[in-house]
Amino acid sequence: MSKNVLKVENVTMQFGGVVAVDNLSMEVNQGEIVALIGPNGAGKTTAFNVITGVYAPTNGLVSFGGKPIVRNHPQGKMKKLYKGEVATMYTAAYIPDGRPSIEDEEATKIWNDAEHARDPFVGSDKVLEPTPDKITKLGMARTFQNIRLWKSQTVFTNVLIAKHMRRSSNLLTATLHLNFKEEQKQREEVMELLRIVGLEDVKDELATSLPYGKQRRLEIARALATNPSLLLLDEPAAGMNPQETQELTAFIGEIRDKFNMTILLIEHHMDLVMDISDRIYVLDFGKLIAQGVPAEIQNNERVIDAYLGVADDAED
Amino acid sequence: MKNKKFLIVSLILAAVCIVGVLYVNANMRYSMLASVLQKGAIYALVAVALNLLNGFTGLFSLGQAGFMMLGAYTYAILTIPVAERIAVYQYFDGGIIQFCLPMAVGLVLAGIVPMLFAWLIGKPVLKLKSDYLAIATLGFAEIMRAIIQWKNLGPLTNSSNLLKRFANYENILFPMVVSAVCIAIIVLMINSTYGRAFKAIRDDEIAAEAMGINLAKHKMIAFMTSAFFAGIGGALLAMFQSSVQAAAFTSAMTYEILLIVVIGGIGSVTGSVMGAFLFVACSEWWLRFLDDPLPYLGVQIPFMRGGFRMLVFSVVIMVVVLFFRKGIMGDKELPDLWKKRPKKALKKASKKEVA
Repeated sequence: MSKNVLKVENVTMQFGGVVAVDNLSMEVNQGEIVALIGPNGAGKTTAFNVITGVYAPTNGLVSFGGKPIVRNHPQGKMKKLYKGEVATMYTAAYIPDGRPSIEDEEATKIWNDAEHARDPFVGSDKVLEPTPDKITKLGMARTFQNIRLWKSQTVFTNVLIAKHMRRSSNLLTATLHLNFKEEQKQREEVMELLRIVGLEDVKDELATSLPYGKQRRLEIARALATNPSLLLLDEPAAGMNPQETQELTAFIGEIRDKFNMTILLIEHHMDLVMDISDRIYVLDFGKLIAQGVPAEIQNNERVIDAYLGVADDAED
Repeated sequence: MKNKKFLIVSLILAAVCIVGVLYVNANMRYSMLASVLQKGAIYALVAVALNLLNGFTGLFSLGQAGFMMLGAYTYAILTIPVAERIAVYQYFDGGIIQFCLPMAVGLVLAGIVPMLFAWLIGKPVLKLKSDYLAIATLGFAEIMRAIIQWKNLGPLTNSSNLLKRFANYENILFPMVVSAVCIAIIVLMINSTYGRAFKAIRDDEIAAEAMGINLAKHKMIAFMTSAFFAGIGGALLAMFQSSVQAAAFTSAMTYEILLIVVIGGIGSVTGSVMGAFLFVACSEWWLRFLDDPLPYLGVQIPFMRGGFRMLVFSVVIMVVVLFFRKGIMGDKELPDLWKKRPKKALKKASKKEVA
């Protein structure tokens, strides 16, 4: 079995009384392209934001490369308001079912080990709420649904800034430009990256002056510049015409092969999703309603009802 | 090749400036020109420090006068000769500090003390955004002004009385060189990988954080750096005026500096420097004749009397802001104006060919 890169376990995100993501569990394995689909407002982007640290989830655990990175349980006001499931699972009050009797030492040990492998902080109130930059540093990079390029910067500097995180220089050496070797190396790497994504010829243009499709590419290039092992794409084909979508589909596949990348993406263009994904998760009203390979999803009754719609509908 | 040319030109320009300043220093030490040069250089440093924050990192801070005051007081308190302290601290038995530091040490400490204060208030305040940050920093500056004037702190700060007779410079080249070096350091920082990170935070905080830039840390670096150089600027201002009084560091001073930054161009270092000299020259020198009620060519102009200068000055500023929406320089630097030109011309030419 291939290595598990990202594991989301029982994640619930509740804003006040609104449950945006309800007990979501999913996995992404090494080298896979996994799609997260669902109707508008299903909680896809919220799930993304939880994974990348923009929001701290109300409850749940996110592990990256086998290590827990985000962990939380309902606290304060949320204790009363919480509408999700397994409220005590990530607290000290966690009483698991299926625990073998204490007398059976061997079974207890095996069971304990399994629990700890699942959640190293099992049975504690440990809360992990890293800021997005810390998560990016671990090797997870994302793009945004509504493009968020640095608008006063050129294409080249947009990618170069993403290299800032992997610097070895400190404020003093950087200010005195003693890090020129590293700087040189970074610039070369950025050029190489721009060459790969095909933006070399526009490197000195302002990022926002690029056509839409190229801005999307640039955002992906910028994310790649942080040397991630997992790439999260939030609706990379939003607002693209069929031809651009096709190009993007090929581009995403290329990235996976070239950088040996694992990709999790949110998308509404079904041709792209069905074409490229290894596995698909479907969300509706925050809940996971289906998961599986594209063929399974296409024929899943619930998914068709909630999201894909019947072919006749589309023709009307 | 081009770089070499650029370097030679700037070296020649710098040499001309230095010779000019030395000439002014030798022949008209107490002229209006000399005072504009000094104050302009000091304001340039403080404006560039504020620009680092407002223009490059996108943190709208109005605490600049407060940090300048802290720097000025630190410098003044630490460099008054022991023998003079009885006279300066006449109401406080010579004050509690009975030592005197060398000028250079005092100047560096004048940067470090405001920097530490910036760290202290930055912890809670930098989480705020735009206007809220502005109000919080403005409040900090006003509170510090009140605290320094507090009677019980008299033995240290001389309460609301003047601090004077501290170590001072002879040559007017001194404040200019100090602020030139400081501005050079800020420019180096802006051009480093950290400067790029600041600009990323300014352009889009969420994207910057998602690309691994630690917002709290980088905002703090910008805030502390700005406070450090504002403090040094404050110390230079104290030397220029050869006395310090907390009452002078009002919010109006912050607004003056903010005005310089806006007129020069938010996000342009050379703009801030030019803005500072223009501002100081206009407000102190070139428009001075407007305050003069003397008749011109035998005609007594009714408006010309004390204070009319400021009115005309406000109109000038409004006109400048109307015609230069983004300030004199926008977010460009002075050398860019020469660099970009041939490229643009080329582009236009190629476009014509296509057409």
